[in-house]
Amino acid sequence: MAGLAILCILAVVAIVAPWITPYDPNATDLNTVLLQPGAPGHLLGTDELGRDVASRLLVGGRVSLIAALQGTGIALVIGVPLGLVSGFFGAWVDKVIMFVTDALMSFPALLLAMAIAGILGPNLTNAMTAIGLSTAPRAIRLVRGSVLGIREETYIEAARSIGTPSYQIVFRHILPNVLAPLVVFAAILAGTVMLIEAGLSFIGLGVQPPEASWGAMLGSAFTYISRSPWLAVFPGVCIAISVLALNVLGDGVRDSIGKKVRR
Amino acid sequence: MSTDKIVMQTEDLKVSFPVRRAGHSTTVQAVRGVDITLRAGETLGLVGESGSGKSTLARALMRLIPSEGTVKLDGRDVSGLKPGAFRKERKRIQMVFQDPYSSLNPSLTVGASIAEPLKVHTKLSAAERAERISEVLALVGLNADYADRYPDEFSGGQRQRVAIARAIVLNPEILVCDEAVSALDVSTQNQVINLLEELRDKIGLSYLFISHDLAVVRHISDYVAVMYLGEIVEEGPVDRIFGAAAHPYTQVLLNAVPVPDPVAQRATTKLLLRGDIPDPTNPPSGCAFHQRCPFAMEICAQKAPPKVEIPGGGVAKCHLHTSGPVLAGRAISSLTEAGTETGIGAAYDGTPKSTLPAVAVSGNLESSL
Repeated sequence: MAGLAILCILAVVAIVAPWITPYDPNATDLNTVLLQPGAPGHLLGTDELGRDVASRLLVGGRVSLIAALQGTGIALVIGVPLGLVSGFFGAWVDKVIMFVTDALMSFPALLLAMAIAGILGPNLTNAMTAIGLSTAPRAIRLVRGSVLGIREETYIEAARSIGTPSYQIVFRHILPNVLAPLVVFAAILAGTVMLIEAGLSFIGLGVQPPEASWGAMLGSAFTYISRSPWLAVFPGVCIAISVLALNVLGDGVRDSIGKKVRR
Repeated sequence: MSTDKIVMQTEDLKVSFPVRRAGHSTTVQAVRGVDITLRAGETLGLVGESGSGKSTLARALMRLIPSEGTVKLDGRDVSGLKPGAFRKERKRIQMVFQDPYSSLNPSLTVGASIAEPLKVHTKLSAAERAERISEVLALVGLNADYADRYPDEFSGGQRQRVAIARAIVLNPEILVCDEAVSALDVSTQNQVINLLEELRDKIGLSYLFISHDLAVVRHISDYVAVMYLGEIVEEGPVDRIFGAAAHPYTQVLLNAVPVPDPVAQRATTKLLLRGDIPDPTNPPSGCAFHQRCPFAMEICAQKAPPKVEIPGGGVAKCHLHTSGPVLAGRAISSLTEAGTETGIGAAYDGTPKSTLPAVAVSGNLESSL
């Protein structure tokens, strides 16, 4: 479970970030701009305004992780109930929900998120709401698909023959059995959300200056890429490692669930 | 063992499904007017090929699918009740399903599964529920400690015991067993059947026992109904059905059961069945069985046969008792013994008339060996 280990380290770092940064991440010092990594006092160098890159990475990581959590959370909060309703009750409810979902899915998530963030106004919470909304259709589809499979199991029929009310069938019999694929999906979705957040911040629709996030750092580093490539390398590597860790975690969870039978 | 008290009765029960085929929609009549009667303490065996509508009938009785006609529990018509009102009746009639591997939720402990009917229908406290769960676990021959385990720790036979425990935890009057032993291996089958018989004697259950396995049905039933294409074609006391079948379909089913002695097996007259069960979206005219019946007469394709009382108990729906050779309730075997001399148009002469390959109904003896 290398993925889990990396994520735990990232989470701990993100939590304690404000107390371990060597400098104020937003403090500018125009005497020390664009210092190379390894410069005295600045382990990873400084950016175009003389801000400490290491400090900004730590704080930015916190922002990126919270953003990933927020976006995934919103996607699940919207997707799970709609997917359950759509899959369990079927009929016209299912048709309406699936029609909207299919329409939303025909847009690329990033494009949709850009449009929504553009309408709501550029800040991180709006960006995450936008990402949540634009990735919710995937959650709806996944949950609906699992529910359709589970609905045909005999234990659902048995519950109905006992006289168990529908809402209890959903919460006692269907939801726990949807959980396994959902955990896998959430881990992988968190990786995707992190990437989209980076993309939105890169084009200025996410976190606003002077706040740092990995995506925003990448965006501002873009201007100096030929002179100071390390400005782009560090946040880029951080994003890559986190997304990789989330995907590895998702795969690991899937494998371990496969072995233990559904429980 | 059985008394005269009728615990369940259906009148003209019908189930139809809408199907869409090649663009246009039609309906399948899966159950076409079934009358069955279940008496207190009695086991009613329901037999028939795959696709004859046995399980559909069970689901209709449990209100898992919509149906038309009348279902009476203890003489009271419950078919008009709204779902909410019918919920109260459910504690009187419970069901055991075929596959014990999918009839228990894998994410719930055995105890939680058995507790579900209690939670829905009673106001027992958690402690009282736990006590009742240990009671029924003991009743089905399982250790009371098993309540905390998950279904995947148990074998098929043990799971079926758990499913039975769940079905009897409310002390129902009727247990519908839909192929309840068919998915189990033979030795486990025996244990579960013995358990069902034990429960019948201990807590006075009545069973509707659905199976394609004639040996099991013969063993457990007091009364047998034979289903073909959504209809009961013959019914009667178990000994009369197995001893003197009055409907050709019943006779064909009985002949398909292999006899352990090879000499005796060769000596049995092999009545063969042509083709497959007909398409239920387009049932044959007249008697539904006439296309496959070795004794089919002209009238069989034109008129649906009337119900004829059979001496020895029960009824059969077949023209042979009123037209042609006029069996008037005698067993079908009296025809085959007489051979071709009976003089009926399509009397059985030992070889199938059709050029279609003749098949014995092997589907009905999967586990009779």
